[in-house]
Amino acid sequence: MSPSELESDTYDVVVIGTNLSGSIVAASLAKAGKSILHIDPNEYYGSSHSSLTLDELIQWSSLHSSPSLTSHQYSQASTSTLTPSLHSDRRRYALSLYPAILPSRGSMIQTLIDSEVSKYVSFRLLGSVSVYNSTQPLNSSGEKEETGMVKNSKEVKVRRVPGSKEDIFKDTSINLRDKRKLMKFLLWASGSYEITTVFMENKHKRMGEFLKDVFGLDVKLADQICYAIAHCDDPEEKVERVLGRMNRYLKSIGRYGSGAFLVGQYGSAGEVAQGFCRACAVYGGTYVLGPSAKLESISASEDGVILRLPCHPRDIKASKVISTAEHLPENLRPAAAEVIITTAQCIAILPSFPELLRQSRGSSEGTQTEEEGSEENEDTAVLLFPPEGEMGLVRALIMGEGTGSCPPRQWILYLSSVVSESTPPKCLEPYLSRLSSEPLFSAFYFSHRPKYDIPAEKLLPSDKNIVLLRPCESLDMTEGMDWEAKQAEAAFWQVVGKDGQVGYFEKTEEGEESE
Amino acid sequence: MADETPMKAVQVKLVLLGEAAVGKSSLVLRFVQNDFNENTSPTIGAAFLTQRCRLENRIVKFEIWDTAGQERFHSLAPMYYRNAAAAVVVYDITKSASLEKAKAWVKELQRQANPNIIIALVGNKLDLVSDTPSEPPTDGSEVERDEEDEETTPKPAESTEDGDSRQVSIAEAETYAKECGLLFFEASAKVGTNVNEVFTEIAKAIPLDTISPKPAAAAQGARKPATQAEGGVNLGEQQAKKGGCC
Repeated sequence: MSPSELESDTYDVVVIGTNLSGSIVAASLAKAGKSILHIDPNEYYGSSHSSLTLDELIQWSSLHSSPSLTSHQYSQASTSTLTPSLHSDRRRYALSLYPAILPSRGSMIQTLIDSEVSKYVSFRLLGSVSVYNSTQPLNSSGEKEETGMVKNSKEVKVRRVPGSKEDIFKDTSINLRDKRKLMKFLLWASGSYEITTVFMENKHKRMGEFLKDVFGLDVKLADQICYAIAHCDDPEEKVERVLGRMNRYLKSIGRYGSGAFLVGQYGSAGEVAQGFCRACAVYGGTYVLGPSAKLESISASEDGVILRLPCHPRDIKASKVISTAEHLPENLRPAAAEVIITTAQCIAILPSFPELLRQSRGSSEGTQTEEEGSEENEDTAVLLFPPEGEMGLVRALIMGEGTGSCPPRQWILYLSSVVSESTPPKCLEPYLSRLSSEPLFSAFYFSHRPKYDIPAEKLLPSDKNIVLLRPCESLDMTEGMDWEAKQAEAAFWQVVGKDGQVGYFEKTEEGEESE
Repeated sequence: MADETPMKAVQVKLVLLGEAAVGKSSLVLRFVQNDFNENTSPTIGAAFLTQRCRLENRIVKFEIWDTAGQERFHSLAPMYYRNAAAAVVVYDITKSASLEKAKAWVKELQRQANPNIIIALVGNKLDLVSDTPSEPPTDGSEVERDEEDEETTPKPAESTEDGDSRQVSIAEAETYAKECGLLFFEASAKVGTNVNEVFTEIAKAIPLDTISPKPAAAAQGARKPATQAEGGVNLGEQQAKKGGCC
């Protein structure tokens, strides 16, 4: 058989796009015994969740440099040029188009475990979560009043957020009274808060106000909780939603260590997607990537979907097609969203761990934890910059060599913020320079996501045999991976039906015969 | 370091490469099931198989990754090559085209994989040619052909009895292997010839200290064993699962 020909003309399911949800659902269906053809027109795995090498990122950037929003997800991408040493190390980087951290409890972790893909991908605990003290002027916003404590500890620009009981006890910067309030709140939020009257009466309130009014926390602590523990976009978010998320994050603490979040190796999301693709292949799925997997035509009918691909000389027939909207032709996509949310993103390579974050360790924890994890703390970190001036919340995620993302003694920095206009560098460069005076490399781009007014699950594809995978609407870095896992499971059930014949990543005594 | 705990197993990721149907999986099956079966009962098509290889001064625990068919459309993910300390590139000595494919895979390894990767070029299906018993070019290892003769029952050569089916000469492949700094063997997965030698020589060639420069970054970095045991990584014991495979 010619290598440029598929083994079959028909498949149970064709999955288009190797993004997280596509890869997970492909693996789950292959495991359930379905014949799977998984294609991606990109040369690399992961689609919008990909981990790219440095040269791949530059190539990617040149393809997404268009100044305005077209049908693409990305625009205005630009990169600095490579120094010779970066060039020679270019393949040692895993740079994520989808920087994310993973709560230790949730759909993604569960799916990783159930599918045993956890064997291929490794995670480590996130080193620290900190909040930038925005009274240090960036522009001119100085609205937040601060207690004297900040000045006392010689210009603390960054506060490491105590995420657990232990942390709170250790923290020397919070006074005893506040500690008690904080503990009281965290205890409540990590328990069965939803049956309490406090919750019933306040669930439609804004989170920030709620913390102040009901738990008596000061603005500063309330903000820290909102940004760094509950990972809100802003303190205006509704209590009900915030607490649901926060409860899970608080329960994540202690599962694998003292923090709530894990950071994946090699760019995280992209590596996880590859892991599921491999699982799918192991269960018999066929993989075609690149130009030979670029859809030539697709048409849906009553009893299935017909596709044409360069890798096969004949029509390919599938009972179902699973895809994200971006891979489908206009006529098979759902109606366009009215609102597009734009995020400015930056990927930078730093020659040192940001000084800012070193400070935060020293000042808030004293010397007692010096030995514990000094290395780990300087490998991964999340830093949140509360809104300042024109800019909304800016999120920074740092991944060092321990995550396999870069060569030794370098760090990858991801910045992101929802913006309305301007250009990506204009938005984020001030933040980059706070973290590093001399980045070795930087890339900036806009990422665009549709936001629908109708709930996601009401958003239907144009044909019953096409199953749509939707991108996560939340823009923070803690929810995306779980969202993808949920999308995948929903798609799985849409394909197999809930008749009890097969389970989702069900353990089986014996797999199917090979060949 | 390793001298102090000489019998501690070092884990080595080994990847298989080569054109479809050259016998990649069978080589591994032969290696894993035949001789060192201390632990698992493996199955072809599993995520990866493990096998220990005992040397004089250490034990190398191979974690062997099969392509799972992803080589057909050159869609092997970077993850596949990641942290591989060794690779076995297989061709079929009765198909000259398969050596060309093998050369392409060696190139791909040089591009994608760890620069210090140990690569072994293996010409499989020695049982299909019955000319001279092929001595492996490396001095140290001996061919212990008789050892596994219990499975010689299947038909020895398809076409002729005198080895006409050979299309790749030892000299040709060996010269190429030398040029590229590869270990070289001719082997038979079916009969067992040289299979253990391939893996033993690889195990010997792996430098003691540079084993897995990063691979177990998580394992070593995370002081909490829980992260490894339950978390992302070594969750439960590995179970061999069947599935499609070349």
